[in-house]
Amino acid sequence: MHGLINRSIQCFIRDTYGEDLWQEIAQTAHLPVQGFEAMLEYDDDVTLGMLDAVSRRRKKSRDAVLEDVGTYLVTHTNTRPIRRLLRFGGETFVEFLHTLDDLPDRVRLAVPDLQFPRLDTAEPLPNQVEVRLSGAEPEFGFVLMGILRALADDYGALVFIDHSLHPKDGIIVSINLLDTAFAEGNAFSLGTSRVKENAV
Amino acid sequence: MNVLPSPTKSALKAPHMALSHADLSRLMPMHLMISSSGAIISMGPTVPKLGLDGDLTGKGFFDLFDITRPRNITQYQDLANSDGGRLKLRLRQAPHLPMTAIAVPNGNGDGLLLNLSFGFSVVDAVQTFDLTCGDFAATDLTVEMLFLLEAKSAAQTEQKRLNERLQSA
Repeated sequence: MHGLINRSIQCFIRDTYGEDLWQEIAQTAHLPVQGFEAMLEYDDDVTLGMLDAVSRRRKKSRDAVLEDVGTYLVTHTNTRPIRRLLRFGGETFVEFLHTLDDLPDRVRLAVPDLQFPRLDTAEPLPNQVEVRLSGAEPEFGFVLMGILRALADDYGALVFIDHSLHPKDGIIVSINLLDTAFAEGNAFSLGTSRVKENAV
Repeated sequence: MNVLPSPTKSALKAPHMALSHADLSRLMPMHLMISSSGAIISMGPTVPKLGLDGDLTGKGFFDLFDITRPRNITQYQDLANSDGGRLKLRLRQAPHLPMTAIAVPNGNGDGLLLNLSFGFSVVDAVQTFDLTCGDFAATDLTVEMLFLLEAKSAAQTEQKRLNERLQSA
């Protein structure tokens, strides 16, 4: 697994539950105590071990933890750059959804060696968007769901998001748009490009 | 299969077309139409956002802009007689943000159509004028460029951190 993913989960644990829990999890799951390097590659088992440790310690399902990681990536002050990069996808949430197919390309521009699954969007019904993840780990669907829920909130759209596993099509995340201008939404300006990263 | 009648050569000639102001604005949100007296007739929706207060119609183009290259273009005739190449210009009230433009005859022989853009100053310009995705044409890669710049600076910060850790190790 790409170090950036491990580091994101590590920061999620630290920023959400505190440094002590991170230290505890690092010890029980035999993780590097100083933390992960975003530029290195790690064994997939390391990532899964870390997720299971959080899930056990917080008595949450692994899926719920993954969704929380997705939400964290968009909402926390330490991950501001990620939220900003995502908001470049469109002026409204609907526009963002329509450019979701391009997200893997955008990610590749930012981090060339990060493996990102292909996303295919379809609109089976008006106000409904289905995202099909091809060749993705099932875990990824839950992270995406967390990201989309948090982003909808950020844009001020009211949505209902569901996740399903199809034997043939794989993971499908479906988004029902209930109200695209439900709330004010958070401001986004192209110009605030002085990226203030704290301790990501 | 239906075979289309082969068009005559004259039908293949690029048509002389008229575009509505709305369509022109979608293609070029930063365009300006100026009359042969140098007065601004109309403009794309992004132009008034460039710190230019009030109604710009009727104002003199050269009162608002200063053409820096080619040199010695200070009035309409100079511009109309120029070679039609790339123009370097500045907004008089934001001289630190150099712009690029191209001017073409408006088709009626009584004015010019200018399409403006920011060059390397785009990063500062979006910040100064608080421009959004919708202020650029859909085919304009400015937003993609800003995305790339930001992604790059985020990656660079991470790289710097790794280097610092390696240094202190």
